[in-house]
Amino acid sequence: MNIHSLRGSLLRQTPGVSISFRLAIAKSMARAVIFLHSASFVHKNIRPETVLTTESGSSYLVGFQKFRATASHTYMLGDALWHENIYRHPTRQGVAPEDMYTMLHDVYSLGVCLLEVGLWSSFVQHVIGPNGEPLILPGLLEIAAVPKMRDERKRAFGLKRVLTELATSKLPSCMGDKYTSLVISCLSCLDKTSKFVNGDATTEIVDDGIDLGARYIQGVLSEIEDISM
Amino acid sequence: MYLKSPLQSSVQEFEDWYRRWDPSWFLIARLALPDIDAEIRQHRLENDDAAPLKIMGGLREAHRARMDTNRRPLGFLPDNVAFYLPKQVDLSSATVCARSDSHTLAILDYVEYRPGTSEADISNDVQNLARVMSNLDPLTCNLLRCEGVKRNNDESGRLRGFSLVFQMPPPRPSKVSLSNEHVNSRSEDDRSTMVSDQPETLST
Repeated sequence: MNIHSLRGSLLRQTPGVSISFRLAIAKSMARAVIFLHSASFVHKNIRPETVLTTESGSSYLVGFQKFRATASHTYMLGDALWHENIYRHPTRQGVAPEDMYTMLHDVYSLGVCLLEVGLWSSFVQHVIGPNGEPLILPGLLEIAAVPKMRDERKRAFGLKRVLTELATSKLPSCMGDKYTSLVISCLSCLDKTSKFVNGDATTEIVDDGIDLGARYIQGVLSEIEDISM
Repeated sequence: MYLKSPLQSSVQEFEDWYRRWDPSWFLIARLALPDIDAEIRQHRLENDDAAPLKIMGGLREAHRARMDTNRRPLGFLPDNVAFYLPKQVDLSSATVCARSDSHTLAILDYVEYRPGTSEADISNDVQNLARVMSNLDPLTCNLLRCEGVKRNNDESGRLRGFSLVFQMPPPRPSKVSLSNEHVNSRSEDDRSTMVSDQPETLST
């Protein structure tokens, strides 16, 4: 049995990767997140490095380094690693994130992964530098093009905007309108206009997570399970 | 009369909310009624294991595993259980290795302990996660089945973190072929981890 990380699979960029395969990976990722949330845990580290794929078309969520039970205390800790920050909602980036972590932050991370899977293109490149040292570089041109701003918050929201534009412009031709809409829903899940957040987002942040989890189940899962190729 | 407009607005808001979110889905997933499980099983048999029912069954399983504190917690693995022949799955934190006690392959995943945070809290959370994940079906939930937890200490006995020990992914009848991708990539298999075709047992 071959076991790969999703990052490894994305980096190979084999042209033969079918849309059905991408969809199978996307569905199994969404399921894993839902079941984890249903058991009252948040993962806090969803990215292609924390997803294992097998040649039979299944994927499994691992990488529980930062998980916690939803009822447990959140320590508001973060880090400044850019290649991990691109999977984090703007309010959870940097060494001192401004928001407490909720299930919807996992949904945002899932959305970034689903975008990558849909485009079948890695947002992160692992290369060997001139002196043999491992380097981590931005993959897609659009990701690298996010302007360097002194204000980290503005930069974080700039990246979110780039990801949303990428989904809007490139995803429909790869995966269709339903999938695109689903990815955009995930990326905007913490926006006040989101269908996952009814009204004031700040009131949802202190929710015990059950209501959010249920909306997520209803929203993401039923939409993604509906898609067939 | 003065109340009519706010009332209409409230009703409209509620209707909008209800249309967006059907709470029955959520309630069915959490109701502790064996009849629901029997009904789901029956429908899955009759409807070729339709995805929504499969997921509903999995959600009920996950919720039950979380709530049922009478289930035996997965204790920490004894110190004499070791893991050898580790091979990291490239570009991931997971490692495939062999258990010294059962000589079976397992996947290890690490949970970090950050000094300054509560050791008791994380220990409790890790054991709860392991208990839940030991009770879920990997084929339904896309979460690997947990076999136990290993506590990792430094030389002075201080907690560094935990290793979650997972079973290898179960074999699955392939409806979606990945063969193109993986066959093409085998020659440059530097990013993959090859393990035996019989993943459960290590040949010795």
